[in-house]
Amino acid sequence: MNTQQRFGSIARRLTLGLLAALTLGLFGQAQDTTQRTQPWSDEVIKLFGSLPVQHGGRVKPLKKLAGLDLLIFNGKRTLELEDGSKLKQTPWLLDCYFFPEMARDYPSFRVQNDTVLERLGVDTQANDKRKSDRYSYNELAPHRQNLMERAISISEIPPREQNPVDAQTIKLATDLRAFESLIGTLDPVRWKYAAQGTGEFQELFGSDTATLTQIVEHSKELLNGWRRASAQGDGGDKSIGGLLPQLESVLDSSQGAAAFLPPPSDFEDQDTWWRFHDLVKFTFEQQTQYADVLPMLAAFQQLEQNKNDPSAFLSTLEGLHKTSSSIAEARGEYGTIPLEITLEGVDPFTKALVSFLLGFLLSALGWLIKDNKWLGRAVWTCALIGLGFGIWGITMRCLIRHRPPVVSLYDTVIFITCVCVLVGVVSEYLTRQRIGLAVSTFLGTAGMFLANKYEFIEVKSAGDTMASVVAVLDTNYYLAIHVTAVTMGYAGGLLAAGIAHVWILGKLFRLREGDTQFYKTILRMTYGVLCFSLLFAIFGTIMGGVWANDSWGRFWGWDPKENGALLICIWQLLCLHMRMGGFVKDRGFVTMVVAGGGVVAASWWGVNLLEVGLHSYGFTSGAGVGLLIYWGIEVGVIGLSGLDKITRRSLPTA
Amino acid sequence: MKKDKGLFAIITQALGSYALCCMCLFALFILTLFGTLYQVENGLYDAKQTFFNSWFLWAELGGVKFPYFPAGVLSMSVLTINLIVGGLLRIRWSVKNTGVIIIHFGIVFMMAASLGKLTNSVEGHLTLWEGDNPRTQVDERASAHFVSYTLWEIAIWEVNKEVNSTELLVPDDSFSDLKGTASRKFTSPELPFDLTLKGFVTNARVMPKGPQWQAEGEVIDGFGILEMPDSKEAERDVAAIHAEVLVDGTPMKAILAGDQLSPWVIDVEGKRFAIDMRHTRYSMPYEIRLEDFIKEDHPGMTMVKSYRSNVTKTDEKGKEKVLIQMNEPLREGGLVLFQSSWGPSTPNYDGPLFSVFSVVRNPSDKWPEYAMWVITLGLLITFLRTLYRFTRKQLSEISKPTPVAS
Repeated sequence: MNTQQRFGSIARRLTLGLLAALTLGLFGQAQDTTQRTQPWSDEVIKLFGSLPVQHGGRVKPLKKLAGLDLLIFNGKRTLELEDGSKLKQTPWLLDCYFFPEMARDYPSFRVQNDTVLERLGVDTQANDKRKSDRYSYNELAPHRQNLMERAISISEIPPREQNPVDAQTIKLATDLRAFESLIGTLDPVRWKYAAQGTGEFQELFGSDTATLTQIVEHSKELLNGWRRASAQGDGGDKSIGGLLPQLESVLDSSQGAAAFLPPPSDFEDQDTWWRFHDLVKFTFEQQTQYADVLPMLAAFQQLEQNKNDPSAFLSTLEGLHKTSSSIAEARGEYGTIPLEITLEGVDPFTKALVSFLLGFLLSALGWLIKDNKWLGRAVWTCALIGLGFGIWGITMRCLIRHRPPVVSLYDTVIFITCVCVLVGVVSEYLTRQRIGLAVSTFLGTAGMFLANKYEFIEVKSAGDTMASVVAVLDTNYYLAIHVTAVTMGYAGGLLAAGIAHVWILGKLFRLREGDTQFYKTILRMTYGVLCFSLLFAIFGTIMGGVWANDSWGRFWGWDPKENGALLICIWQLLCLHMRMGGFVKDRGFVTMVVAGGGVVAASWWGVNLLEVGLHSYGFTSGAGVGLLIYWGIEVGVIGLSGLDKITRRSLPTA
Repeated sequence: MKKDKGLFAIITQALGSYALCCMCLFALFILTLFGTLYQVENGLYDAKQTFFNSWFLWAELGGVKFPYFPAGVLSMSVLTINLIVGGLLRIRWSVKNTGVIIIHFGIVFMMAASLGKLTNSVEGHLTLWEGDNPRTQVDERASAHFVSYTLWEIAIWEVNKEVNSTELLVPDDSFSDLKGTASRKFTSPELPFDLTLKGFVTNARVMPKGPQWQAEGEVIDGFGILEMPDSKEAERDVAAIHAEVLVDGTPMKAILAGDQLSPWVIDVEGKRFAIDMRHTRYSMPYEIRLEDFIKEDHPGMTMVKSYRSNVTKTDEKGKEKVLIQMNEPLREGGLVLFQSSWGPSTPNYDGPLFSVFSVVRNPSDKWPEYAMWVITLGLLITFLRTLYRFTRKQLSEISKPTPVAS
């Protein structure tokens, strides 16, 4: 579902809910205004973060969901507060659920360009904000209506014709609504449903107010009461009549909430978890008491009641966690939760980025301090540690999803990075020229940096980097063989281009000028890695055709993604045949391989930007500029190589 | 003394040369690149026809058309010849070249598969409902024919005949060239009239003629053909053509359109005939009946996880229940049926669903897969041999003692 669709559907649901809620004056009562007096304990954070929840088609820990939500709103998984302190994802979500008034003051929303706000009439200069800064809900709330109207009118413009400010306006409006939905998650259990006058209500509940658990427990009596009151018309009991609109409006406003409740064992649809909304709906519709779900609802209600009593809160949370996780475990859905928590905690790709960066810096230092054995060993260590983190992270993602390593565009980034580093490390082992290590740590740094940046785009568009896949991709056989092979071809092509850069730049800056063996080794490495790339690119591309033949009935359809893969194969074949035919010498060959890196980038990212064809699975908004910059740099390198050749020709020979 | 080469030797040398190979690869690269970009504005079908399924790219200057670049068919044909001559015949058949020869053989085999597909395959779709089609109120659960996505035909049959009359068909290639004022007469001994067709329009709307637009050809009974630009998806085009029948010396005229709900009906010599324009139908050696269509969404989402159809295949051997689903087609009787789509996807729709199967008749269906394994074998041999040599050389260089400066 794209941003516009998400926005549209959330907008429709929430506008109705909010209007109804405002009409009834619910907000004053539903939102708890109390402030948290002490920080959440580690035990609470750990237990709450590992609560299972169904989101995006699979069960995941709440910590993961918190991280995704915060990443979408804030661009980071950690929130920096006004006083400079930092709030991690799980405590932030705890505050959103239990202390929504506090959460409204957190600067959770990143506004990349303040023109978005200026267009709404916000004086961005007045509050000492930067052009790209973070805002709280309460800062944006006065302009909410204006923002929503503007977003609705922009959403009618085709996405291709929207400018960045338009796109950011829609995102901000979507984020605002999603945040409202988030802080309203516990509204159904927080709300005290009040009697309208005196009568049956008080008899049923023994009070003027009732909780959601009580309402669900007395669903049969309530239904009968409503029927009686309806049959009696104006003369009937009105005390419970007013309950229905309260219930509808509160539940409607929490429709976008997370699904915490595994479906009861006797329910027909066993795949979809329930939100509080679903429990109430099915209880009344089916006129059944779902005894295995009700205690969980009661536990959430108790959590809300005990939120200012740390020991009672912890004790209730322990009970809820035990119930929830044991049900999920019995359903075979809890197994990956500990893995995902570990993955979130270790954050291997950031650690890999740091290792590769350090390795590259040490490698660069090695060019200045020659023949230092310890420096060389340090670079090896950094490259291998970074690679270890990368491979570990990819393996964990495979185990969590039960899928091969590459499914989404985000996967391609981390996988290609690791393959580049692995092949670079192997080539370094074989050549010992410090070229393989330097290039692989550079590509490792660039790749992990790209993964870090792209994660936000994919989460913003698909909701997760481990999102559910469309029907045609639901085959591990072809995903494992075709996609993995093609991405290995991409990795080889990029690594070959990286090594070829060393040849060109080395010649340009007159490095090891008389060392012909050095340049011969680079050439051999480039050739070898190009052959590696071609092997996987051709196999992967044709295997893609075989998959297409089984899925769509044609081996080759000239679809942009297929053509992108074919372009890589053709270009690499051209490089090899031009070399074998003697049409290009060393310089021409490495220059063609550098250009081949541009072809790989076009196939990897460029074809998705065309937004046509059957393979448009990736989300690449914002990738176009990056791609143009990369191509621009490569054109510059190729131009410099040509210039170097001309300069050398014109130099007088000794 | 330089030995003169014979003409045959010169030709084979040129045909098998690296230069020709590089030119073909370069041409294919350019075609693939621009053919991909062309799709953004013009759609896939047009791009395929213009860049890949033709011999040349054509330009027009001063009303004169001329070829300016080799297109897919020519580039791939010449590359195949180059591969055969240079990569299989002229290459030294030695152990060293084993991998390369196998790769070239595999690519030639794959090109043959492409040629087979281009010249002998038929593509279409079979759309079946779980029950009655809500629009037509007709039971459309079973069919023994599939329908082309893009080709049209004109069918003529006698109505009210006691026995089912055979349809007479005018195929697409007999009238799709009749643009503008061009016309063609079709006769048959089985028909008491001749049918004249003219003014074929690839994508048209037939509507009451108004003052705001110019009709293509004659306006008939107040209706005219409005020519529309070709759709990006060629299967969305609705063709139209002018038809004329001479009955007792009196011409009867009509506009036939691909989206008309009922055929043109004429009475000739006491018999009633129907003339209809529709997408080309291909008969299948069996009937497919949709028993059940199952669509599953990912839990808690509107994204489709899988869709599949339980069908019954009936032929002279009897009935057989078959499951057709994404990535698992039915291959039977020279046809392949793929689960390709479903509908209606209207939100909150609660009626019967339809299941769409892409149907392909392709004699070279599995050839590309065989070619892939052959090519992969060749690539593996070549790569592993190169890697082995490279590794041995590098390790021996590393193990050499570093010379000590005196």
